[in-house]
Amino acid sequence: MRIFVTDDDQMVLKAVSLFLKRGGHQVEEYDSAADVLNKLKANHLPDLVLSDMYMPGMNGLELLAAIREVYKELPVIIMTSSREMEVTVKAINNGAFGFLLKPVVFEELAWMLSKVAMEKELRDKLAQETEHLIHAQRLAEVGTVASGIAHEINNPNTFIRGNVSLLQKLWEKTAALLEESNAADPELLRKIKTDVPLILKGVRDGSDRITQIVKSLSFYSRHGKDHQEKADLRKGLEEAQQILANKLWQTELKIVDDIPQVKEVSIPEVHYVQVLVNLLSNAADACKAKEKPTIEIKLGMEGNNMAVVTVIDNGTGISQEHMQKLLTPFFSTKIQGEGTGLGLYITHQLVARNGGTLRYLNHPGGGAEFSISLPLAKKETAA
Amino acid sequence: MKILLVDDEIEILNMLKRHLELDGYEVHTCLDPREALDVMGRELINLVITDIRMPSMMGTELMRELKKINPLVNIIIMTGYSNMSYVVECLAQGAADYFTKPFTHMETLMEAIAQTSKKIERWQQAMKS
Repeated sequence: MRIFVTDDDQMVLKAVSLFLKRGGHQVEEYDSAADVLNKLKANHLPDLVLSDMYMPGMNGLELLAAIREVYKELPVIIMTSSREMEVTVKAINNGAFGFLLKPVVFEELAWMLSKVAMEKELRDKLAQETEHLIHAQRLAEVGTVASGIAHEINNPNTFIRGNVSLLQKLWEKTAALLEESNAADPELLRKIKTDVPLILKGVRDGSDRITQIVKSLSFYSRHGKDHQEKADLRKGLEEAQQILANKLWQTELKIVDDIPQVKEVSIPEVHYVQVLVNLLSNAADACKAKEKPTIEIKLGMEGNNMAVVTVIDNGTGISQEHMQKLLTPFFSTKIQGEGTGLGLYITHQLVARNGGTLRYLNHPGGGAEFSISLPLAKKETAA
Repeated sequence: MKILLVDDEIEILNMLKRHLELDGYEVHTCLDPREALDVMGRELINLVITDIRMPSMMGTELMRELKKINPLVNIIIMTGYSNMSYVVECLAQGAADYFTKPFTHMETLMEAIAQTSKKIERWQQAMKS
């Protein structure tokens, strides 16, 4: 921990500081409360302030009050030789983390430090979880907005696409007519005849890409109950492999099944297959440049109620800068046109919506590991 | 064969109309399903191609009303991606076929229309003899 210690008695200051340093802490020594405040104002926040009670100028209680005005959560411990209950009660009431009686008993100080560390850990964890929740909620909102937009885009895309096919049809007739006519500028005619089909193809391809994006987003927003609410772990996997047969034929698939007794997980089958298709497709893309592309799929358990499907590829892994962005919609590391940047985002949404989690990390042996945990279907138990 | 197109999006109507006219069909268009019922009463329509989600009337309701006017009318429905259960309901109520927007394979839609046209001709021949 980073700890600020302040005491006007140099002996105490050095002794406490030495003890803390031996415990592996980073210590800064100050001989007045005002110096501590100045350092705090410069935005150097420690994890703990250890302050003497009686010092010339500002005393410990005053320092505590000044700290509390700005930093609600910074732990402050007051050291006091006074045996007056009044001071200690005041310190606690004003938000001190605790107090130590002087002369300082180091065991007591060590015990208090462990309490500060524990509380810090809890606070950090809570902050992390809150941030995670807010992030997840934002992503879900993006999904709702995006699927609404996707729906609106579908109509204009319909007449763009339809008009292009019409133009292509008309162009074939026009090209035949042009062939018969005596063109004044044969060079221009030649250019038109090569370019127009390419231009039409460009528009058609663009529209088809929009179609792809709209399709994936609509899949996310589809919440009809017309599908089965549970999925067979292995059948779903087989179906996903079949869908991806063209993509996976050069990849070696190793399947490790550690839970033969478990059959069904609680997620609509279409969603389960979609999730596996996304993970396997990404894995295949990640390792396709390898000499021997290999994907390992593991079926396992997490506790008694969750089944875990893990997909490990032997590709290049996830770079540090991409780690945080993977689940963001429209983020893609694939070359343009190959990925919509929605696969993992939708995978995450579908898994989370069914009470599961998506995790990913770089595998020690190279390549990336993605795993989804899903609750078992009601009647399933891990015997 | 006379075709009636119903969609609340004018550009989709125009686009489909051009396709169909190019293939030699006579086409009427309506932006509003209620208007479609008027046309249906006036003209001898053989095939209706309709969107299933429109502001003033849902596809299923329109289908019921159309069948009241002409029980033998052929109906093809068009839909966005969502709500397959609604598509199934329309098919159960007697829609001949459905197509998903955007029509990435326009030929398939045109093929279905050509088939319907042939069927109608065959029926008309049979009724004459």
